[in-house]
Amino acid sequence: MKPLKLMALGLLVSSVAAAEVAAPMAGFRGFVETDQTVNQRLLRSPKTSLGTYVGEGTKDFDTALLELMGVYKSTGLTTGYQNAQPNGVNLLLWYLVFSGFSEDFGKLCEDSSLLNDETLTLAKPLCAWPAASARTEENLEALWLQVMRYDAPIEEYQAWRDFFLGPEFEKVSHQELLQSASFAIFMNPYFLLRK
Amino acid sequence: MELDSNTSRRDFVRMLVAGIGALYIPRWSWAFSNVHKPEADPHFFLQIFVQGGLDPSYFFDARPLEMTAAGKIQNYTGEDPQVWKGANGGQCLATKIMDPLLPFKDKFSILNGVVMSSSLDGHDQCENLMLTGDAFGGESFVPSFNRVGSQRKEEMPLDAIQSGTLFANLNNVSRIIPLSSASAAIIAEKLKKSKPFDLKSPLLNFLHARMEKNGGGKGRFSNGSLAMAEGFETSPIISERLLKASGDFKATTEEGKFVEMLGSFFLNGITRCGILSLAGNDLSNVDCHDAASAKKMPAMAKEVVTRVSNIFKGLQDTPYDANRSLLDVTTVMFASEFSRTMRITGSKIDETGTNHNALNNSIWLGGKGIRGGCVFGASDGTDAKMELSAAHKAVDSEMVKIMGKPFDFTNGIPKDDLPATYDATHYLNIASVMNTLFTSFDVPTAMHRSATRNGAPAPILKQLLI
Repeated sequence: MKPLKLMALGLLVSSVAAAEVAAPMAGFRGFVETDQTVNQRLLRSPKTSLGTYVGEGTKDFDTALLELMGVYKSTGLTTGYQNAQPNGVNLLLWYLVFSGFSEDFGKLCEDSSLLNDETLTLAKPLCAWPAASARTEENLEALWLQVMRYDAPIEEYQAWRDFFLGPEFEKVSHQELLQSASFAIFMNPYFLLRK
Repeated sequence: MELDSNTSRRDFVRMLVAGIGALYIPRWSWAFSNVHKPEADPHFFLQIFVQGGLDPSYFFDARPLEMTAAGKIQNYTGEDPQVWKGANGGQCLATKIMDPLLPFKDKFSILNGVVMSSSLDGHDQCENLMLTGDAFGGESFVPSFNRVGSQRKEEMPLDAIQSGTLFANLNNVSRIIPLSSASAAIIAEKLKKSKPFDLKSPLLNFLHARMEKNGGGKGRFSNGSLAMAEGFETSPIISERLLKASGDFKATTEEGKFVEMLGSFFLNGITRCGILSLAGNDLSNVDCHDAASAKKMPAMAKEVVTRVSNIFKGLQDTPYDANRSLLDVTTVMFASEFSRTMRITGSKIDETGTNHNALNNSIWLGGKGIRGGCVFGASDGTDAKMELSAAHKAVDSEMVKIMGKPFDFTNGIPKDDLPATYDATHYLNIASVMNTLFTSFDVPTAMHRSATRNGAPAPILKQLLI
């Protein structure tokens, strides 16, 4: 028997017990809760919906697209949280939502109409990026805490901080930095998943 | 499936999946290629479902009016059914409501007398039985058609797209996506205007690494984070293929658009299966316990048949490639979760509703891999004498139900035996129907279902397969 076969058999036997019970999995918080969080933490007035980045206003948004991102729904006999398990389609939708929103977020130095005063105050120092005065841990930490609050462990912040203080973003514009740094927080599992 | 030194990682995973009978694989997405090449021998699946428990006596398991006159079974059509002869020598009685399906007679076969359960008759229980093999739910069979089986040349990023809901407890359906053609069009439109989803970019690569890092544990959050990483890997592939697959679907009905989208998704390597749960219009009264609802069954049957025949026509008229239609490459299953009682005890035969009956079901299978034009199986209680077996009476003391007849699997024909006791293995059970489908999709026998608890795999209906 060849090594690959032996390995397959070994894994097969060891997997049986674990496979009998499906592992519980954290799902997305869902569109409604995430939209509320973004509005409460960041936006000037709670009138801007993240749905505008994925077709809100079209007749299929409420009944179909929204559903794909995690919703409470009745199937007739039971009511439960549906379509919240991460997959290639709902990730694509969250990507579209936060690509669009981060792009607008990245314009905060030029256009202050979207974000609330607290967010603007905390993020403004990053408008000097890539100047050395802007590329500080203190400035990044302020942005992280404003968006993520304490929903993620310190290691998650540190990895994010090190990435944006690293060579990839050393010379980018403040707009690109703000866009990418906010996008990386929004798409982090600690921001999107229900713990 | 043989493993040798050239065995790919995908085949290796497939063997594992086949062996463990479970569909959770921690990492699978490296199996996907960005480039989809249409398969030489493609095989797809479409499940059409009507929830509520359709009464097959208005479809392909009808009863003569003499039984209504004798007070045995309601018949709100007021017409005698006609004989529907199968190419295999089997036959059944069909109402005239079935006539729109005549042009497709050789494209599908009828399986009558399918026993769903002898003891459980809840909607969710029987849907769970059909979808998972367990009345309380579990792993849906649908992903297995995409993820296992030696015939598969490529595992699609989505197991299925679905229209409508199912009453079932399923725990492996994260890659079964409820998607309408309108939603797909909106997503495609947004994707066209968005930056490409490029996993090689430092930013997305960083995010992916965080998802993987947080997915390294064993808890709920870790599993969710790992699923995010996997989803992240398939998103660019779905994005690229969706842009090719989404179009201006011309059909005028939702089902028609769904079938068109399905064909495009099959061709472009997005999904292997479609699930279409028919609802709306007149189908809200399928579960017709009351007489007023039961009286609407002829209209509901007409609607179902019209919609199903439109689906068959759509599949037949939609080319898959230069030589084959979508129907040529797709196995189609039509079913409801169970049938209905003939009447409700104590009600007049012309003022009665009907209750659940899991002792009988009528399922239609057609398309690729299926021998069409046949009638397999039969149910009992075919005339006013109602000569029923002791086995039947033991599970239907009021004698208001029709039950599948015992079945001879060697010859593929129903038997007229009147057994004293019920033995599930002697009947055309839902487990046998599903195992026959599994065989068509090369799902390993280790994953086949048993008709009894911890029993041997239920025999397949080999006469149905080509």
